[in-house]
Amino acid sequence: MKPLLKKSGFLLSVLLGLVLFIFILFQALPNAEEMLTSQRADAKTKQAIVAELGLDQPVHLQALYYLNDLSPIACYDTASAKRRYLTGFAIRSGSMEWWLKLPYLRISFQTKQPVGGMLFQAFVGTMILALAAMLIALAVGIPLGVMAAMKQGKWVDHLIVGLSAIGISMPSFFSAMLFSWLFGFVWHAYTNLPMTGSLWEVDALGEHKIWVWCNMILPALALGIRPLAVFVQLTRNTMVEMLAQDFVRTAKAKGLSQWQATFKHALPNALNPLITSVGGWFSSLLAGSFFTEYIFQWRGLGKVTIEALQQSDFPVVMGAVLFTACVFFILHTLTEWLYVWIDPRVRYE
Amino acid sequence: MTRKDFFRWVDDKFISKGVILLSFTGYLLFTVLGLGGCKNVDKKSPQQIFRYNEDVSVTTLDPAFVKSQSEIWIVSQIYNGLVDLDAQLRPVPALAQRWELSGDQLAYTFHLRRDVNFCFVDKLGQLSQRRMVASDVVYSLSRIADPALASPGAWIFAGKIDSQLNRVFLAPNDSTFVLRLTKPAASLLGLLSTNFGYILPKEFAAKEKSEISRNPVGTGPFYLRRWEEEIKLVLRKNPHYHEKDEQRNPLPYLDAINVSFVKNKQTAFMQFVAGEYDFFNGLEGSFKDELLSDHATLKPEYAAKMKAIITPFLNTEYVGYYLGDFPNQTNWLQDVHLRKALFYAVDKPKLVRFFRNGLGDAGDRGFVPPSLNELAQKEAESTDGWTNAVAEFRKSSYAQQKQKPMILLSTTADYLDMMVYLQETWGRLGVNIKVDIQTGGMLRQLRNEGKLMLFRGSWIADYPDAENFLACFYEPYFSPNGPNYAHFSHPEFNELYANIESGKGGVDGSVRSQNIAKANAILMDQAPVIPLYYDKSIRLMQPWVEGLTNDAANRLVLKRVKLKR
Repeated sequence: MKPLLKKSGFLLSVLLGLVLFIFILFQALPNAEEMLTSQRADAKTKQAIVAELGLDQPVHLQALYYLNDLSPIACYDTASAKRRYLTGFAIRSGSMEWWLKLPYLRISFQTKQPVGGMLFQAFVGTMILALAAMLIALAVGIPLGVMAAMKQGKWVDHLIVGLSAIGISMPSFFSAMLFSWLFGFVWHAYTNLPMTGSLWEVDALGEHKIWVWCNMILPALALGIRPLAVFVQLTRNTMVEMLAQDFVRTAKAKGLSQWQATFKHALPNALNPLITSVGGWFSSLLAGSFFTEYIFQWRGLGKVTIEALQQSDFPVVMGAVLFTACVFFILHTLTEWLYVWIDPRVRYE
Repeated sequence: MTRKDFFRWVDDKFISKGVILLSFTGYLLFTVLGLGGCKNVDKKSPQQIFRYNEDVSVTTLDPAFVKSQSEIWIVSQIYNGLVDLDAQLRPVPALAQRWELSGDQLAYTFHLRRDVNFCFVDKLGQLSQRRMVASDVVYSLSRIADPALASPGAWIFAGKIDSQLNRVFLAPNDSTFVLRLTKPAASLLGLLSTNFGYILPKEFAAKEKSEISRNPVGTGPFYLRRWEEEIKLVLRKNPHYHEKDEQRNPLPYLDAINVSFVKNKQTAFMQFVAGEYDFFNGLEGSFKDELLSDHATLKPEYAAKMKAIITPFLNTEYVGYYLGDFPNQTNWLQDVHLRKALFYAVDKPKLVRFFRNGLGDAGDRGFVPPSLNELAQKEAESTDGWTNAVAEFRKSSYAQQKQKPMILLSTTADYLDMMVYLQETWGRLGVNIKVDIQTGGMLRQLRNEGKLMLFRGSWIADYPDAENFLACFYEPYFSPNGPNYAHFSHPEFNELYANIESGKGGVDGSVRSQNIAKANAILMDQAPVIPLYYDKSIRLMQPWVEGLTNDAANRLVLKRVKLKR
């Protein structure tokens, strides 16, 4: 319990730091009213927009109001509470209302939609894409790593290690562009894969939503290439180490086949560093698939954030950063616990 | 499950030969199923579905708040205004059958059509209708003018009407609407033809802004069936639309419009080439040379596959100056000789040919595009431009400086190549230019705040009238109050502009045309701006698209489009 409290305290301080940092950072971005008005808008209209968005307040007050919106316990005057999409309970005292609520991420400057809902919807897309990428990376990476370790020093090993080195050095935005162009355009007649697309689409008459799984293939492959290459190398290296251990030799001496000794004895012991790596990679896939999502137009957290940044949509950018930080924190904590659970030599401190 | 159980499970189930086999089978299945399921069923639809892509986000469908061309194109399918524009961009009746202007030019009386209905859609997609009446017009236009709404279109009535809106917009009966002005406004009909003049049902008065933005209800040829943000927007044919074609067939011909949102223009272009879209608008540097020859024609390999419409577009691309003072810095551009030198030095035909593949006309007739200024005179031939530039430069105080002070030219990244060419050209003249790249939003902000000495800009007509271009130099519109970013001040120009705006001497008469020509000539003489070129728009479409046209306002009119696959 104590480590959890300690970690939660750490998360809160990180979130607070992020809020303040982004507030300062946003001062360097173009004013939101410039992005919301046409070329002929006069100063009066701009002032009205600024007032409506609450940007006419001093920055420190804006930050405080934002923290009040984020906080589970918050205080509003009745008019302010009415303007917000709050979910929770309120106790009224005079013209003030005390709320016990879910964190409120405000509404988008551009779309006027609640940011929480927008981000959650996008997060589901990112999550599915990251899971698919991770499955591909694991399903292909581990067997290739084991194979390379078993054939250490032979041409198969060199080939696998060489290819994985290329995979590691290929940034995801590059592989995304390459895959999109090659499989989605040049060889489209053979692959039938689209250059862009989200997990679901709408039919031509707008009547139904259609799940389009094949839209996921190229982005998942592009996103999975780097972790795949890392898993190959990691599995290979730890397996080489494990295969040279006494317990594997003993297992073989007891009459187990090479296959059994490898998969029943060596591989489980080689899993620990892989699990740590999977946790880390999964977090970064969730938070770092920005370019892949953007190139494939995959409706996810990354695409939403990039577009919000381009439009100076402060609530969406802030919400996305805080959301990503929380996801990182949760995944990191889960990985640590899993690590402790699998390896009894490690203790949580 | 304990740790021991877990490892037992791993031993029994997971780590076996089967896992490898399973993972590869699964992978194979995933690929085969994926590829098999990738057939685009929509393409086989017998219905008339028009598809195009928007590379700019659509964030609202409320006519009072739309600001980009992508949004305007969509709302113009859903809504109508009192007035529309014909192919020559002259005001023609739309929801108003006809109108009269009072003798003092202060009251417009619009007589509305009686056969126009709003198309309401419920959540199940069921349609219902209600007749459009004058009180809807009162609501819609009062909404735009209401400061509480903070609409970016409030400027269309700014300075022209009383602040008591119930004295301005009147509905004497269901089919008559009266608009009272405080001063004559020659361009009022043009202003009402913009999206800010679209008519909404008065029931919207009780709705939140966000609801109006997501659930538009109009009288246009299409209605919104579905909008999944950044994925797809589907417009369906309005079966009760009031317009008919020459053979009395109901319009529109299309059953639906599908708008996709692929942000990368190059990707969208490849998808267009692959036949995924029926129409593609505009070009980007990355594939311009691939598609177009030097003379704005499609290369033969593309001409066989697609159709193109190239039309003059009311957009002047320019380099602007700020003529005000900078703290602790001399603004060398306050010197008219230096400004003129920079203007003459640019070989505009060459610039259009090499940077735009001929897609545009050299900006040598002032800031107002020639199509809006019939009396425009070509001031300088490009052949003697350099001689003029050198002569003007020698007269400037900047030329007398031993160490040439640096002048910052601000631009966005997409115009960098053109600006580097200008830097090199002006460098040959002796002007020390440094190119500074900003994001679009930041460039707009700094320009509005008067913090940029020299900047690249473009002015797209809000409505088809020279007045809209000349407003960029009218003194009361000094930025940030208006679009006079140069802070140009010239008493004679101001007087001419006031006359043009009020239509003194006749709204359509030759006096107004002469005033426009005079005002444009002052701008050419004082050079508060360097017009680089008058833009042209390019529309590409598949061979099976018929009835799609274009005009100088680059409007997307789809009600007469047919697909003959």
